[in-house]
Amino acid sequence: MGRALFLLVVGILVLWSWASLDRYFALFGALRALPPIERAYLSLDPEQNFLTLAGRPDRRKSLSEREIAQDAPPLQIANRGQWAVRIAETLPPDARVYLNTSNSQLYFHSSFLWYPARVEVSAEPALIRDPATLRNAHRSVRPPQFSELLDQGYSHIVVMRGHGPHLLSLSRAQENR
Amino acid sequence: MSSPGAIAAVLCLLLGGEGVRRAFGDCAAKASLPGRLGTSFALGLIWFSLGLFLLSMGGSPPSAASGLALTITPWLLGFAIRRRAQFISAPNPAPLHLPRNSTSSSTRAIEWALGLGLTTTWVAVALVSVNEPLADWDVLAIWAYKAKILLAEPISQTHYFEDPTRAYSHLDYPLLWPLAMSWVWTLGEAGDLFEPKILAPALFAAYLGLFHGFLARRHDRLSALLFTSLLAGLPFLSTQTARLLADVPLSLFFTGAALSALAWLEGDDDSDLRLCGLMCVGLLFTKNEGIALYVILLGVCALALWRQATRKRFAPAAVWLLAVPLLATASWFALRFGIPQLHEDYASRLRLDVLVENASRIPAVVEGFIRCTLEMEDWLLFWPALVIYLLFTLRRWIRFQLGWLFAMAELPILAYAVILVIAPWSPHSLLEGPLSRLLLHSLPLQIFLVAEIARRSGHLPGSAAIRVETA
Repeated sequence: MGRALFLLVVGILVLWSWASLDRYFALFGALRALPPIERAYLSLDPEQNFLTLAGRPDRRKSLSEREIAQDAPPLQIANRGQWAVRIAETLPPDARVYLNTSNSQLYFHSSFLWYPARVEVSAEPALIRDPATLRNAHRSVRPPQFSELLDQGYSHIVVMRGHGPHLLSLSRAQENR
Repeated sequence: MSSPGAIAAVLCLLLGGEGVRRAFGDCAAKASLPGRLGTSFALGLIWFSLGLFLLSMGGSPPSAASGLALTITPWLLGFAIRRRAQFISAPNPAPLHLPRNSTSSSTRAIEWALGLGLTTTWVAVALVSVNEPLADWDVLAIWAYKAKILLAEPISQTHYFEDPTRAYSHLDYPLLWPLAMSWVWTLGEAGDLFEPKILAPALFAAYLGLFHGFLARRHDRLSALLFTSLLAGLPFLSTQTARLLADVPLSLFFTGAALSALAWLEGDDDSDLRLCGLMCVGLLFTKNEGIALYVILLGVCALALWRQATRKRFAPAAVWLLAVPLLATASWFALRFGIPQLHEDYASRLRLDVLVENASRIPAVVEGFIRCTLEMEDWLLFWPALVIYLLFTLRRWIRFQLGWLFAMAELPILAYAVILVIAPWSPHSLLEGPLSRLLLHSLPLQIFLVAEIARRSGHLPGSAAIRVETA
C-alpha cells in the first residue's frame, strides 16, 4: 500500500510536469516568429511569457485578476528596456548620456545595454542602490542648461516626452526615437 | 541562435572541467556517464571562472588565449601528477553497492518513457533559452552587467567596484557567473544578448546529470531516472535555468558538495572528499548565500566526523574542506573586503537581540514560505507532498541514520528564514522572486532524501524494506 501510494504520487508529479511542457514549445514558436530585436519585447511581457512570472505569486495573481475583469484597461508594459535595446545599436561606445528622468527601469536597462557608454542622472556621483536612491540622486535639467551639460562632457541626453523617452545628441541636437 | 564561438566556449568549460576531474584522482568515476559529464561541467565552471578572475586581477581580461590555457592546463597537470597509464585510461572502480537493474520488459518500457520525458524536458528548456535574449531583471542589472565590465576591463584597472552609482548591481557579489558569461562572449559575439543563453541548456544538463550520477550510485536505473525526472519536471527549476539566474549554479555546487561529502562520510574514498572541496570553491564564488551553505556543510561534516570518532579523517577533511576552498577564494575575499559596504550588512545583524527584536516578523516569514511552496505554477504540489511524506516516515528515517542528509537539506531553509527575520526589508517584498529561489538551493537534496527514505522503506520497485536492528 505504501509503495503503491508513493509511486502514484511521484508518477502524478512527473506526468503533471510533462503536461506543462507545452508552454515552452508554444513560447518557442512565438519567439521564432519574431526577428531577434523583437524578441526582447516578448521576453519582458508577463502577459505573453510565463517565464517572467516565475516565483512571483503576487504578480501572477494581479495579472489573472486583470484578465478576469472584463472592463479592466489593457495592461501596458512600461517597457523602457525595449526602447533601450534599439538605441544600443546606434549609440557610440564612448558616449556619456545624461538621463533626465528618475525612471529606474530606464536607468538600469540603459546602463547595461549601452555599456561602455556611461549613463548618469546627476553630474555629481551619488549612491544609487535602488529606485528610491535613484530618485534622490536625480537632478532634472531644463533645455537652457543643456549647453552646461555639453561643457561637463556629456554627449547625449534622454528626455521624456509624451510618447516615451527620446535620445538627443547634445552637440547636434538630433532626435532619435 | 548561439554562434559556433559560444558553443565552443561551453565545450571548453566541459573539457577543462574533465581535466580537473581527472587531475584530482578521477573523482566521481563511480558515477554514471551523465554524472561524470555533469561533474565535469560544474568543475569547468569553477576552474574557468577562478582562472579568469586571477588573470583579471593580474591585468588580463578574458581572451581566447587565456581560455585555451585554462582548457589545457588541468590535463597537463593531471598528466604530470599521476602516472601516465592511470591518467589516460582512468580506472572506473565499481561502486560499493551495485544496484541491480531489472530486466523486465515493463520496467524497460518505463525507463525508456522516463528517458524520453527527460530528453523532451531538456529540449523544451533549451529551445526557449537560446531563442530568448537576456531578460530577467537580476540577470541584466547584476550578472550580465558585471560580465560586460569584466570582459572589457581587467579588475586591476576598473573603477566599477568603487562606483556608488552602480551600487544597485551589488558591487560585492561573487563573480563566477559573470565570468562564465564573459567567457562565452569572449569566443562568441561580445555583448550579444543571446550568446550567454547557451549556458542554460548546458547548465540544465549538468545539473540533472550530476544529480543522476549520485542517485545511480545507490539506486537502480529505474529509480535514478524516476527521481531525476521529478527534479527536472519542477517548473521553477526549469524557468530559473532558462533565465540564467545564478541560484541554479549555486544549487548545482551545493548539491555536488553535500552529496560527495555524505558519500565520503559513509565510505572511505578520498576522491569524494576532493570533489566536495572543489565544489565548495564554487559555493563561495557564486553567491553570498554560498557562505551560509558552506558553513552549514562544514558544521554537518564536523559533527559527523566527531560522532564517527575517526581521528585520521580530520586531517584530510581540514585540507579539502577548509584549506582548499578558502585558499582558492582568498583573492576574491581580499578584493571583496576592499569594496565599500553600500547595502545592508546581514552579518552584523546576526545577533540574538536582533532576532528577538524582529520576532514579530516570524509569522510573516512563515506565511511567505508557505505561500511560495503552494504555488503550483512553480512547484506543482511537490512541497506539500514532501512534508507529508517526511511526517509519515518520521520514525523510519530517523532510524535509517539519514540525519546528516536531512540536516544538509533543511538547515539552509532554516538559515534563510532567520536571515529574512533579521533583514530590514518587509518579508512581503521578498515574496516576489527571492524566496522561491532560496528554496531552489537545497531542492535536489530534498528529492535525494525522499529517494533514500523510499529505498530503505521498500517504497521503490525492486527494493525491500530495510529492517533496522535496535539494541
